[in-house]
Formats: sequence, C-alpha cells, structure tokens
Amino acid sequence: MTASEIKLEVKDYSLYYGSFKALDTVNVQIPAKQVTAIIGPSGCGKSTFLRTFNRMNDLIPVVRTEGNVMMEGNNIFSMDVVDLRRRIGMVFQRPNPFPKSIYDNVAYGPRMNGLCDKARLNEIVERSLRGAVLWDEVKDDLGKSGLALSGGQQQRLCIARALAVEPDVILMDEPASALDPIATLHIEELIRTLKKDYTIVIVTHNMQQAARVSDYTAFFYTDESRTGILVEFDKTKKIFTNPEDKRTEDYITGRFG
Amino acid sequence: MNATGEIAVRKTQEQVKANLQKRHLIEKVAFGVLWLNAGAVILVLFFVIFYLLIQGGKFFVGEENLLEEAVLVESNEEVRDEVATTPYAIGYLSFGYLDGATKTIKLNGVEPTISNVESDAYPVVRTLYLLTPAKPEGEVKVLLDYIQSISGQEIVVEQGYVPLKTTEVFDSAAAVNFTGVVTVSGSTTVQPLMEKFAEIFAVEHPDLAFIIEGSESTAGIKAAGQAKIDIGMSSRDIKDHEIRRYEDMQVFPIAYDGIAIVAHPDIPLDTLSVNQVRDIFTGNITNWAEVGGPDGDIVVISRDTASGTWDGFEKWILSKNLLISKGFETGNFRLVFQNVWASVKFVWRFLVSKPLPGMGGLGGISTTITTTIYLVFWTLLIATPLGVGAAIYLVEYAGEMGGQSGEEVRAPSWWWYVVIAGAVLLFIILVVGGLLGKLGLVVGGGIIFALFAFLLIGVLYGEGVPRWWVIVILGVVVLGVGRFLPSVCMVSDVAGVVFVLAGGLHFAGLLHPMVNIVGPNVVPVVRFAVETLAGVPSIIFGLFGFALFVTAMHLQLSMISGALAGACLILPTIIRTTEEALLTVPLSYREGSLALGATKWQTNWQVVLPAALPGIVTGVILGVGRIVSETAVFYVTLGGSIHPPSSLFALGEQGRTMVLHLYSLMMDANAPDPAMGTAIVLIVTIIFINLGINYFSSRLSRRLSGKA
Repeated sequence: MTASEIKLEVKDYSLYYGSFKALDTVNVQIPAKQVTAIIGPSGCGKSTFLRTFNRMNDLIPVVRTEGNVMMEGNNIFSMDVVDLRRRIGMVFQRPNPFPKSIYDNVAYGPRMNGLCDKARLNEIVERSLRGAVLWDEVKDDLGKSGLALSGGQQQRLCIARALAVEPDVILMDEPASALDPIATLHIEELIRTLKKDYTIVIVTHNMQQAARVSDYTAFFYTDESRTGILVEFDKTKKIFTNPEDKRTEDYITGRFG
Repeated sequence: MNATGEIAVRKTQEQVKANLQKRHLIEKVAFGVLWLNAGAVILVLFFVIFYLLIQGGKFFVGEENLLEEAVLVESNEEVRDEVATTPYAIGYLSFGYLDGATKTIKLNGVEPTISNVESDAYPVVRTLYLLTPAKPEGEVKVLLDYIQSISGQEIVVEQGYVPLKTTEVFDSAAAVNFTGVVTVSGSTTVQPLMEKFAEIFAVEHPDLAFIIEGSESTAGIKAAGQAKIDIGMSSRDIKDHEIRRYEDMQVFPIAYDGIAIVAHPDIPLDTLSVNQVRDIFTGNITNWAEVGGPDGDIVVISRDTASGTWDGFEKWILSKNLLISKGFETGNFRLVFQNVWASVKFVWRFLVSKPLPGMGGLGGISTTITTTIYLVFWTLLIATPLGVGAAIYLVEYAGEMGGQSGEEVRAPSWWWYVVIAGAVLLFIILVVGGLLGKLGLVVGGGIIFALFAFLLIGVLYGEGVPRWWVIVILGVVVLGVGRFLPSVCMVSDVAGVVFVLAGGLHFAGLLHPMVNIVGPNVVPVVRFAVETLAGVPSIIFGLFGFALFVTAMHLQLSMISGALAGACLILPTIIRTTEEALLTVPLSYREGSLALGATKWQTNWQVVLPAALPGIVTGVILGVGRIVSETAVFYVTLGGSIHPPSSLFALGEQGRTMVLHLYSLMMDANAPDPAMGTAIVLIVTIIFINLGINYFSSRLSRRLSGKA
C-alpha cells in the first residue's frame, strides 16, 4: 500500500485498564475506502481497539495508552477530540437513536457542529437517509420518533446520523449483532455501497459476515494473560483461504469452537 | 436399588411433600396479612380524605360569610348605639336591648316578641347559659337555684327575655348571709340580666360583691373553663370542643333570648323576609331601595364571630344547610336550589375575598392563595437551576457518567468556582439593585462585576490561574470598593477576603493540591451531605433562613427571604431526584452524541437533559408539594400578614401562605371551621398539582419513548 492509500496507521499501540494490559503492541495500517473487518474471540480487545480510533476510550478514566495512532499522518491523540469524532463516525452494537424525531436524529450532528440553515439541513437529512437506504421508508414521517422504528431501521438511522456529519471513516461495532437475518442483510448491502465514499472499520463476531463484506481482515487473539494481540492482518481472501498463522486457521475453521 | 435406599428416597419425598404444604401455608398467611395490611392502610387514607372533605364541605354549606364592609363592634350596646345613630344602618340585637332607640323590623311579618317566641312563631332564638368552673357551691349554687326558679324567671321576663319553663320554687330560707366577691364575665347579652340578678341578690346579701364584665361568649366560656372567674356567661350553645377541653365545667341554661333585626329609626320598613336579611348581611343587597325602602346604601353593623349573638344570628338567618334541610322537608326545592347555589357562591367568595383581620377567621383566603403561588414560583425559580445544575455536575462530570469526555479541558481549579460564583452573585446584586432602584448597589456591583469579568476572561483565554499578586491586588481593590460604597460592603468584603485568601494560598503553593476540589472522590461525601439535608427537620431550615437571610442579610421577613429559605429546603430533593433521573438515561445516548462530534455540554443539554426531563419534573413537583405544605420555614422567614407582599424584594412586607393561614386560624383565631375550608382548598390544590404532573410527565415520557 502506498501512503495515500493508508487512512489510519497504528504504531506500537498498547492499552491498559489500570494495571491490566488489554492490547499489546498493535501495528496495523487501515487502507482508505476499503472495508476492514476485525475478528476474534470474545474479550480479545476488538471493540476496545475500534474505540481507539475516535478516542471513545477517553471516557473511561482508568484507561492508559502507549504508542501512536495516525490519521493521514496526524497523531489523533494530539488532535481536537471533538473534531476527530466528527471525522471518524461510529455505529454501535445496539441501535441507539436519540429520543427525538427521525429528522432531529439525523440533523443532530450538523446542528451540534453549528449548522442552522434549514434548507441545508433538509438537504443533508435527505442525502444521509438515502445514503443509509432508509429514505423511502421514512420520508413521509420524518417527525416520528426514532425509537418508533424497527431494530434494523433504527440501526440504519444511526448510520444515517453518522453520515450526516460527513466523516472520512465510519467505525462499526458489531452493527448487526442485535438484528434479525433480513435486517442484517440490509446492513451488509449498505456497507458495501458505503465503501465507495468512506473508509469502514467493522468489528464482527460473524465470520461469514466478515468474509462477505470486508476487503481486509484483522484477526485478534488473546494469550494466556488475556491480553489482546493482533495475530494477522491481510486481505480477507487471503485470511480466509490461506492464513499464515496457525491460530488464524484454527479460528477460521472453527477449531476453537 | 436396595431397601434402605428406597426408604431413604420415600422419606425424602415425604419431607418434600410436607415441606411443600408448609410453604403453601406460609404463602397463604403472608398473602392474608399483606391483604389486610394494604386494605387497612387504604381505608385509613380514604377515611382521612373523606373526613376532611366532609368537614370542609360542612363549612362551605353551613357557614355564611358576612360581607367584608360590615362594621364589626364588640357588644350589644355598641350595636344598638351604632344602629341608632348611623343613617341607613341595620343590625341585630338581643331582645334585652330593644329599648326603642332602634327600629325593630319584623321577620317574615312576625314581630320579635316573647309571646311569638314562646309560640314558636318567631324562629331566631337561642339559649342563654351561665357556667361554673366546677360543681357550684355556696353563694354561686344559691344564686343559680334562684335564677332557675319561678321567681327568678319572672325577672327574666321583666328584662325582656324569654323564660325557661320551670316549676322550681326558690327557698330563700336556705340562704345564709354570704360575703366575698363573685367574678362574672362573658356575653353582653346575658350581662344586663346578670346585673339585675346581682342587684336583687345584693339586697339579701349586702356583704357580697359582684364584679361583672361583658366581653364575648367565647371569652366567658374560656374564662370559666379555666377557672379564672366564678361564673361565665354565654349566649350560645357550648361547642363540642369546648366541652371536651373543659371537663369540669358545669353548664346552666337560665333563659331564652330572641335576636331581633333592628334598623335606624328613620327606616320606614316594617318587615323583611329571611332571604332579604341574608342578602343584606352577605352583601347581595346593598341599597334599601332594593327591599322597598328609601334610596340609601345599607350600613351593616355586626358582632364578630366570637360573639354568641353572631352565633345565633348566623345559625338561624345565614345558615344554608338549615334552609336546605327545611326545603327538603317541605318539598320546597326552590329553597334547596337557592341555598345550594348560595353555597357555590360562598365557595367562590371564599376563594376570591381577602381574609379579615382579627379573631374569628372571617373572610376568604384569596391573598393566601396568591402568596402561595407567588412563593412557589420564586422558590422554584431559585432552586430548580441550582439543584439541576448541581446534579448534572455530580453525575455527568464528577460521578458515574463522568470520566474525561476526552476534551482538552484542564481540570478546573477551584478558582473557576470562585470566579464564576462571584460573577453570578454580583450579577444578581446588579439586578436586585436595579429592581430596588439603589444606584449605589448598581455602581458598586458593576465595578466588582467588571473586575470579576476581567479575571474570568483571563482564566478562560490566558494561561490558567493568574499570578498570586494579581489576585491579592484585585482582592484589595474589591475591599476598597466596599469602603467607599457602604451599600455593597457586605458582598465586597466577602469577595475581597476570598480573593486575598486565595492569592495567599496560591503564593504559599497550597493551591495545587486543591485543584479539582470537587472531583470523583468527593462525590460520595457530597451525596451523603445532600441526603442528610433531605432528612433535616424543616424548622432547622427555618432557623437557618431566619439567621442568614432575615437577620444577617437584612432581607427581613419578606418574599425573598421565604423563597431563599424554601429553596434551601427543596434543593436536596431536587438534587436527588435529578441525579436518579440522569442515571436512568442510558450511557449509549451519551456515547452516540459524543461520537458525532458533540461536546460534553451539548450532549448534556441536547440529549441527556431532555431524556431525564420526566424524572426532573417529578422532583420539581415534589418540591412544589413541599413548599405548598410547609409551615415552619415560612413562619419564620415570610411572616404572617394577611396581605400579600407587593414584590419579591419588598423587604419587611410579610405574607401568609394557605398553610400558615390554616395554622393561624386554628391556633390564633380558634376558628376550626374556616380552617377546614382552607384545608379542602389545599387538598384540592395538591390533587390538581399531582394530576397535572402525572399528565405532563407521562406525556413527556410517551413522546420520548416514541409512542406518541
């Protein structure tokens, strides 16, 4: 990969919860406008790693980090965190629309960033909802509460909400784990469309999903001390057909259960 | 399986079975006990509400309000003189005072005479009583025997009263020559009769002296009950609570008395109907022309409610429930409707008219309602932002939902709090000064405010905490301002001392350990303090408010003192409920908002607070309930005037909430009936507040959860 193709670069990154080391010396380069999947068993630090990129881990007082994370050559830890989070959007495991109308949910981010122009907001809301393939279902009822939607629709609303602030990167933390298979399918289709414009990093438990949607895959695993390590990072095709590491192969083939 | 094993299994099964039966039995007993418990509690609560409603209802149906403009006088004699000398006057008098100085008006065409009373044609009659502190002995017993005998009753008739039906013959032979002093006090209706008896008695007992004072029936009953006098006089029936309170008191009926309607001698009318009299005394008729007399405004002369004559008059002329039951008895539903309607009008008048000064609890409660609403408004205005703000800090910044938002905010030093609090305080002083029209306050406050603002800007945009000598110099300047402008000296002294101390501490290098003084470690301590305060008896807040606001801050008894003390009282409640509400807002809302590039404050304001609103509203409502029902705090900070304070900053202008009025009616005016009426208004108010809150809060949470 050339430098222009690299969106996020993690260098010798370790993370501690108090004295417990949760991630050990991770080095990885996330390519731009591609879908990168993070897979691995429970408790291996996948979500923690994902939350590093938009510094959500800062919310936990006991977290301490070492190493650097660069976005387009800038260290994210010295960036303004509010601006960083605008540029790196996030979709959570459980849909978490605000108790507001659909319109206000999507317009929330732009408004918080100081946009008040009504026409411009309308445009952004429509574009974001279209981007999240939700527009046709809700266009007649934008005043309805976001909580009144079905689970799958709520998750797409959250994606639309993230798109509305025009981020470069979208982080997804098991976005389909709380949804039924049909809603999951919708979300996966959406992820494939979104990668044209966005760099996407997705954490998933579901290996078929990772195989279906991602271009690159990172496999995390824990050693005996429950510290998460990055075992292997490569093109998805390679990881799923011809992994280099024995542990990756065991995990992919289900030998770990 | 061997035999022993089988036996063991069977035994276990039997045990399980027996145990099951036992558990079922306990289940039944527990349910029964809880059912009885809940049933009893619910019954008691309903009984309380119904009892109060019925008592209050009795007041509204039973009592009639004298019109506000009535001239209140203290004795029958004064009524007679006032009516005789005031043109267009009307009043009511005991039969014993009908001496031709006033014009006697027939009631429904029936002349108020003894014979008409005896034949039941004239209805306005009451019994006259003498009372002794205990079973009478000696001269008092002989005197009472004499009064209740045939010869005594002849005197009653001579004096113009209606005699008892008696066959007792007084045996004067039993009497010895008494000596000493007999003290008598009470009703002015009974007074002339008593004086006559004393005069006659003195002939046979020249060494016996009588001291007779006329006041009111209520006072006479009280004095006799407390054994302060030998004989009490009453021209009304003794009330239940008086009989219960004065257990040893003995009651002797001595005569009947009619109450006659009298007018100024120039009034040409001969007769009035009961309804007309009622309308005149309640203010529905204000001109003699309306009842066929001359054109002139009627002047109503009345006794106050401690008087027995008022009692009798009110009971027979003004009482609606009597007329309602009479209407039902005779099938006169027009009468029933009229009086029910009059009750409704009475409730309305009770709500919209002012309380009257003095004993008896006459008048309505309008000003107390205004004061209550006013007080609630100001108290909430002070307490809600402070309480909600404190809770947000405790939960969102220092407590559970705290942590770093990740923003590049330096941990705020306690400097921030001093500076921000100072600026807010001075801003308030500026506003207060402006409202009070005190130029000195505005100028002085303005200067200090400018200094604070300067410092605040320095802290916000400069390099953190200013140098220690800057702070000390500012403190000295602030202190100096106070020397030249005495009206701000109290505030500037406090601010100046804080500044100088802070600068000194800073210099001594002690400031650094104090940075972020209200951090996570302090939250449990703050919570404990808040909980303790929530459990402190309210009178302690009253004492605190009195010492700080009323005395030290020279706010005197005023609305602002009451509102500040009330705010202290409800702050713990509001803080606790707001904290609970904030904690129920899911963390995912906060994460969702922060992940979109919203700041911590935007997240709190736009997402967390709206989601917590139903809970916060509940806390505020609880606060309203406490203010409405609080007596102790406001008794010592708001005072007890029946007039409402003219403004928030009308220092020294006292006020009276509904509850304080109720207290005053019970304890000072000894008027339990209007107190019951006030209690009903209070209960209904609280019921409506609760209904309103439930509606508002459920609508809010429905909207937030997307159901509407």
